[in-house]
Amino acid sequence: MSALRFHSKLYSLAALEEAAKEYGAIAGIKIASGLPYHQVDLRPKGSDFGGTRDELEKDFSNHALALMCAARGLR
Amino acid sequence: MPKSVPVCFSVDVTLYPLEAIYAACYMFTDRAYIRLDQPSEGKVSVVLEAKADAPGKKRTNLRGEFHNELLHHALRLKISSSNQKIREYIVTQALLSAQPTADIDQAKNEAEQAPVLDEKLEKEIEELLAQVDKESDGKDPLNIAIPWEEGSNRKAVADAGVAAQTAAGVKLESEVEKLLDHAEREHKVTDPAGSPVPWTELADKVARKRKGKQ
Repeated sequence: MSALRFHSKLYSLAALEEAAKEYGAIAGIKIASGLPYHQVDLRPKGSDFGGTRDELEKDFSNHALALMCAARGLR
Repeated sequence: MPKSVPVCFSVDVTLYPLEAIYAACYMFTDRAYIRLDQPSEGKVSVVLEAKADAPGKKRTNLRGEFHNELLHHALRLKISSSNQKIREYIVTQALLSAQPTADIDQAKNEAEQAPVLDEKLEKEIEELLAQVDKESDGKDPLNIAIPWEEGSNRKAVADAGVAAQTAAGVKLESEVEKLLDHAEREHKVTDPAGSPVPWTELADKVARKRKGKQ
């Protein structure tokens, strides 16, 4: 499965790293920063996460977005 | 639960600022998965996919609701930026007025700026005080200036009290005597036999009667 791509103008590396830290317990995450996209590779650890890999990626994406909003004082 | 179909659309960043897009996205994080992308300069593409566990009503018309939310946040940000100066001014004023030192300084300034209440009155008070000093000539017959803790003062006050009481008693006695003399001269009282009765005797009788009643 291909890695997730996050546009560097819309998702900051700090937010992705923070989200990766929080998801570290249930998934092995690798972040490759780049332009114009940061690439994130997510691999669920065992069956700790109840859903599928697809759901994990979407949850991760939402969490990164929420962290971006928090960093900008929007929540 | 049927899998929902992702909704994809683009937003013009020149119309809606990026902050408004983020804020609108945040409002949907509880019921939809959101992904943002930038296919070209000045455009942001939004992909919304309703979560499987979201309530039925919240799964429909995500795009329309997102646009409404976008408009709401764009307007909020615009108002916020236009009111920024006045908000900062109000907060600064509130913080300054909350500082105790500022209060003191302000009070001092006001006191300095305020005119003397009444110069005439102050002068009059000073004259009166000078007059009192002059009249008393520094004397303190009742030892008022001496603190109470000093025993001699206590005795002096007690002596002064006794003396005052004695003087009052003597004065009262003389007053009573005068009254009785006056009554004897003006109003003569006689007994049933027709002989005059002295007023002192009558006064004694009245006093005894009153005492008996008590």
